[in-house]
Amino acid sequence: MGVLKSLPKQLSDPLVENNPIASQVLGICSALAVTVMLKQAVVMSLAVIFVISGSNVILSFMRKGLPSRIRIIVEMCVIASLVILVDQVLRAYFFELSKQLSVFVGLIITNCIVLGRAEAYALGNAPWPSFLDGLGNGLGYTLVLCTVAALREILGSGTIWGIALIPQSVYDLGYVNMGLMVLPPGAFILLGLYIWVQNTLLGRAGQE
Amino acid sequence: MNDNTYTLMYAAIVCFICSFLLSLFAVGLQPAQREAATIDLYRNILTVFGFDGANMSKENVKSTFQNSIKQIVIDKRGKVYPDLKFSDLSDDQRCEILYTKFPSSSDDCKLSIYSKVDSQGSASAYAIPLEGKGLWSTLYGYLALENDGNTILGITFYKHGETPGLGAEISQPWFAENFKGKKLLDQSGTLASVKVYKGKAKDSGLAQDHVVDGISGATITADGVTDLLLHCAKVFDPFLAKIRKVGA
Amino acid sequence: MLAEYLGLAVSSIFINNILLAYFLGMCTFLACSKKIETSMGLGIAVIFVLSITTPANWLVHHFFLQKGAMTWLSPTFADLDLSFLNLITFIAIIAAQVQLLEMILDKFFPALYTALGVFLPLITVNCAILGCSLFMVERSYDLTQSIVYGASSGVGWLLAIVALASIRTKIRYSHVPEGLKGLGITFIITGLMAIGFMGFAGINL
Repeated sequence: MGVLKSLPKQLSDPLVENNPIASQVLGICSALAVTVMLKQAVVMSLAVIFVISGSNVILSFMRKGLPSRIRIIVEMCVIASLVILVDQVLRAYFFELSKQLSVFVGLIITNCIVLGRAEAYALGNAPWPSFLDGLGNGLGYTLVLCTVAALREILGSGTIWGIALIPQSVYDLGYVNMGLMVLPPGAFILLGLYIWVQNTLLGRAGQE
Repeated sequence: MNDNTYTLMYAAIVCFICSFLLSLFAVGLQPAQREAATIDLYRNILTVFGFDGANMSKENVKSTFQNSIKQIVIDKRGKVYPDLKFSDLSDDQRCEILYTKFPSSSDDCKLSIYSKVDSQGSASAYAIPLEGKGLWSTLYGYLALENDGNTILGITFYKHGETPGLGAEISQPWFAENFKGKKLLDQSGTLASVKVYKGKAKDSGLAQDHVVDGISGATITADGVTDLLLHCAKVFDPFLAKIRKVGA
Repeated sequence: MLAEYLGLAVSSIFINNILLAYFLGMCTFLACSKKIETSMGLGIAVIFVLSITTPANWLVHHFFLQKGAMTWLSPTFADLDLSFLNLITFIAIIAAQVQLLEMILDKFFPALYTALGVFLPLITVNCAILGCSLFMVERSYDLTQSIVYGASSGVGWLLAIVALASIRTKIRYSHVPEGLKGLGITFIITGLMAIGFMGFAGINL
């Protein structure tokens, strides 16, 4: 925890204390869809980190002149354009990767974390702190996503990053992969348990 | 400046910049995207015919495709048109394979099939296009058959939007591997196709030539695969029937 | 004809419930399901937004964006495919619709407007709304089907959120461990509800 204290507040806060998924209740949809296997969770996390940081910076630059009435639409336009541009570039030069990511493009645009941080932070702060805030929230998101994905993959498929973890002998003894982990209800239950662990470690009661 | 005017102007400028950037990228990158998509398609077709499509270099993919793969234009009744090139046909002249659109496509629309040819130019295998609905998206793939028009050589799904780790497993090697050696026609010669069973194929009680293992947690996608296989086998049946007569 | 629409409606509400089967629209669902009244209000707002945006997006997609859509303007546009603008156009329409809804509620139903508070603009990023429009394109629905699909998906969403709110109200006096109270137990309840709705999966009407 000492190491975390030395980082800028924007980076360290969202990792545990104010985690976007576990505390702010943002970004849930993708946490369910994308955490079946660790590899996809990592790919999605990298994409989200890139988008949040990017959109936070752009919107922070725009914050002075932005009319309040069309705020949300303009934010969505910026976020959507950024994501679609990234998708277009991937499709031209990294086709395999884009095939995996194209499914997530819509999920990233409507990822409440991106809009949530834009509203809550980028519109009121300078570009550099906004960038850090975006990065921090992206990392907090990554932490939860990868933890849940790793557990789901190990318990549900017996592999990690596609590499078989459980030897055939254990299967022969009668062990069966926990099918529920591969389905979304498994993700829900794991997320609930993650929050329980996090709250217990932080010594605080769950917020009503 | 009036508040409203400013808002309108701001909105107009944001719209303009976003549309401009998006269109610039979409149009500018289009050739590169098309090339990437084509190479990916070629890789998949080569893989389904048994080549190591995934690991070949771009140039190797192009030259192997040039030398060993032929695209055949046929119509709904299985008649071959050796003088037509599928890429020259407009969209209205091509049949829509999707089962909701196929019945309403015109009678003289054209379909395309790929064949694997040896150095003498005779075909040793055929690949029919697959198209059908999964859970989240439309699935696009190819089914390769040996030249008896019946035994499955390979299957591939090169385009889909299914859940990674679940429905997306249909494009994994293990899923395709299970299809090798399965047959479209049953013992009496009727079209039975292949069913993706909800569980292990050996527990299904069905004839083993016509069933493969399912994907845990992806029943709807798997059912989609079963349905599209049957539908596409029917679409190309007139052509395949001719191949079977020759091969027999 | 009517049976087809009825089938679509029933399947969108129960079998293909946008929230419990496709897991779209989670954030608002989890954050706003503490009281039944709020959930009800939010659910009705979602039905309203969905019933209007899905057909509106259909119109835009059909007449402007899909390949060859603009042939009503001039036959030279037959090859024009603007579907890369799908996502951003749909989102813009949804955002505008929610803004409109906000103004209507403020003017005619101020009590509901205050009750919903900040959650109203959150409907804009509700993935369920965008998801419905994208499914409508993917499944090539026509205009009437879009309206039926949008409205019934909204009803399905309402059903799920009111159910969750009811359960959360009921467990308020249960012995939930400290760390699990609030969000934690909500996730677990939703997981169990999802398992329940899985019973509907694969039913073909």
